[in-house]
Amino acid sequence: MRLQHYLYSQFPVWAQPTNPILRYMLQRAERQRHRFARWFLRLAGLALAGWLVAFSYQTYQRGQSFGVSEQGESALFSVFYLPLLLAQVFTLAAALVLTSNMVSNERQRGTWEAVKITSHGAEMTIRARWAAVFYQLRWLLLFLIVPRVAFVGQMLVDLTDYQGYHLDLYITGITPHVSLEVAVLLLAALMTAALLLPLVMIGLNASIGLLLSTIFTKRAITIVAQVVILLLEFVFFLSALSAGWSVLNADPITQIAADTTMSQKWTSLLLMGTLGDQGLRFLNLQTFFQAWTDVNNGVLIGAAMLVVMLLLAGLTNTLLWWSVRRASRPERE
Amino acid sequence: MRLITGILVVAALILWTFLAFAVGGARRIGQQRDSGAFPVPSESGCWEGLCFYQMERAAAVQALEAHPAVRDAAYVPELQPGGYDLIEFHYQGRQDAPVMLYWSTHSYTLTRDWRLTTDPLLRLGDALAVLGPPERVSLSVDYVLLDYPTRRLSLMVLPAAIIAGSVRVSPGDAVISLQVVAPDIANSGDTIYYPPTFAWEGFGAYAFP
Repeated sequence: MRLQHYLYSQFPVWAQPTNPILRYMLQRAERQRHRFARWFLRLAGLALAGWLVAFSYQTYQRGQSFGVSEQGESALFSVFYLPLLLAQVFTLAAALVLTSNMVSNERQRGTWEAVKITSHGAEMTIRARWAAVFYQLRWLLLFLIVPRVAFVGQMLVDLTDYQGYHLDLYITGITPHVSLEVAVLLLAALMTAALLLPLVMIGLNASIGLLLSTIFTKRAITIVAQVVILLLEFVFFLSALSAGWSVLNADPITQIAADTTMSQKWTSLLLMGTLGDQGLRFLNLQTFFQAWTDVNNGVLIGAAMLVVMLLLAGLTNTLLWWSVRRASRPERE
Repeated sequence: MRLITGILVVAALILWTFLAFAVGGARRIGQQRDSGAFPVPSESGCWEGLCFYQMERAAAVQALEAHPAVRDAAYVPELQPGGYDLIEFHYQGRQDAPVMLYWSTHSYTLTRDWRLTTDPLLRLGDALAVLGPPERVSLSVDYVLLDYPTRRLSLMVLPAAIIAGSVRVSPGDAVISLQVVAPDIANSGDTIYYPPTFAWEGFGAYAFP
């Protein structure tokens, strides 16, 4: 409890669960559904997750695992890749949906004007709503992050192979040549980015939702905007995934691969690793090392993912600032 | 909201530092563990101190029987293609490895006992961890040959897949035999030919003509 209290105290005031606005939002969200409905939804979610894992296991047994080549990935990775991918998509969609009706809901309750005229009221409400998303999605976040931590652990175990020279063996002959120390940092950068990206992406989607809520004040139009944004995100997500898979799953000597330039391959991998599966596929050591050997500058992908992650965090900041500005403006009569 | 970015940067830096130490630590732990992999011949061409290229069949069997990690060493009279002398034995390393030893012109070869197992002698990564990178690489039918001319050593590697002359070489690939050529023998009149070879460029894809 003391550790939990200490961790929470590191957050800004509006993101701490003791903050009255945040606490009120979380309690109101809980009361919106009956306890029985909440538990039913949780159990249904667990059942769906279990079914997905079983389905993924069966496809793995048939040698048809979705999205992985099965040549370098472990059985555990191959089975859990699809369910985790779908859970990510669902969580991102949930983050958008949870926030995009905020202003219209407050208007419906007749509380929005009162919030706005309070000192920094709109600002605190917007920020608290953004922070509330992480508390509301905490179990999904756990489902996303814990396997990633396990995969990072497996990568560390795999590094002990070949008498500890696994990393040394793979940096021979890659372009550009890097020293062992730099290779260690770049591998650690990939692990860091893959662990933090889900959180950053959820924050980004939540901020997009909040901006939507300040632009579209009518509920019906907001829903249409949500659907359009979600469809666009899904299309982009699929494109990023397929671009990366075409590099990782293809034989590098086939004609298709030969028609793709090295910079195209590198960009495809970066897109997959950031806006696609958020680094999930790279959390298999042999797959990530394959990117080092097959693609020039592939060794830099981990560091590039970290940079992109920070840029996305900056974008989140900007969207939230914009949302606060819009929300704080007086209404037109 | 700059505070959130600040928290993210600090969290990323802490995590990155921790993971960098973890990666380095994993490497160090691996180096201190005994891999239990099948031993490779030394620079002198001898395997575990046994210079088979200088030994007759009976002496080789005797020497293998005396080795602490070897069991059931025996001459195999019924398998003699082309007049090769064959000796079978089991090496007790990380796991029990059935091995065959045979001699050919000025060389000896240690290979997995194909009658008993499809497991490799050792993995390519384990071999390279000891030997370092090879000097030359070539493709021979379904195998990749890695040559160490200064050691007079060739590794026969079974890659995961060969597609139209292209092959991906990975540390997990199976090394199925080790061939050692004897040191130069005066007035032998024999010549050993090597197929067209390429320089080693690390793991990854190779396209052989």
